[in-house]
Amino acid sequence: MRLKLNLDPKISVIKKRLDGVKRIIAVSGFKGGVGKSSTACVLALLLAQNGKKAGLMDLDFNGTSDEIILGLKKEFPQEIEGLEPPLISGVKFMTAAFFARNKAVNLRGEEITNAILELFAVTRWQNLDFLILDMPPGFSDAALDIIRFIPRAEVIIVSTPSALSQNIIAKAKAALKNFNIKITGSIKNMSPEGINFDGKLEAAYGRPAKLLKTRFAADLKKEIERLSLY
Amino acid sequence: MHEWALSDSIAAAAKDVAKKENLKKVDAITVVLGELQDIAGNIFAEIFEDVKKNYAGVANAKLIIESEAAKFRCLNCGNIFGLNRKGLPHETNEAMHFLPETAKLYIKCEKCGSTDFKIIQGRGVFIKEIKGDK
Repeated sequence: MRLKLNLDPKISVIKKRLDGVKRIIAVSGFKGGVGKSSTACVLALLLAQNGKKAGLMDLDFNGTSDEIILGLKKEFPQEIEGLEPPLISGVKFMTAAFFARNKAVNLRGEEITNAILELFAVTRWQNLDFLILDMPPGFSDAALDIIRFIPRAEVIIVSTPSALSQNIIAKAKAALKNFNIKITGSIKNMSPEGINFDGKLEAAYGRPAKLLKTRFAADLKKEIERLSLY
Repeated sequence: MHEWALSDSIAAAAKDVAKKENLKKVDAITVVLGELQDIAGNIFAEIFEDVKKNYAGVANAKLIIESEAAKFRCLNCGNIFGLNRKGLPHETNEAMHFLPETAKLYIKCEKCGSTDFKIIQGRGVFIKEIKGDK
């Protein structure tokens, strides 16, 4: 029999590409400016510093910033039966910024999904204890697709004490529950109840060793212990 | 090789289709390679001969490769245009090879100069047809 199809084959290998990854943690903010990317990057660096095999994938395609936070220079993925992410300060790192080369990314919803699928299908993470996903904003098409394609991803929600952030977090938690997504925990940024505001964080961007010595990292370390990630 | 991962995905997807459609084995897979991603058909076919052995029911499948020209529709002026690689640096072709959507960062509508266009065909790799036995 002949089956006429118009089938994207990439979906079939995503699970296989992630087989060697023990835990996948999606760091979501649901509101801009809450410190989602800083949290994702420093979380990956802290896990690596603690001896864990850690990977980081920047999925915030229209606003990648992890390459700036980690101080990416001329590193580029190696082509070995797919793309092998380069190691940045002990963290395997993948981002669309490798291919966008400092240009503004103007992709629409479906295009972002296609690009994310492409990256998941060809990236060879090998064995990792943790893969940290720096998620696209809120419940965009891309975010919903990631939830669909990687149902075993668990979520860490980053918020600030602002009423605007707290309001949307309450709604997001209810929505994630509907999707049967595990919420590993919430981290309150710029708050004495979580990560204190750190005026020196900005100056440490681009220098992972310095980032790990910030108050932000020290506070995040306590949050990691609270969430039993070590 | 980046082509290895894509070729592997074809075998994996064919196995999934066979399972869903209750096919005992897959005899042939017709794959379309889009111009934008610029996958070398001969290398892709060579890798497939190797990777298909890892997938039950697909191991004897013949790979038929078709190519498709890239076409874009400008969302600003409606112009439909093709891919012109003339003058594109190696890095740009490399970026589109790994992530075809990055074409939107490097290519402009030939008529109005907008970068807001839709890739309407010839993006990358997809399965057009599977032939198999029930």
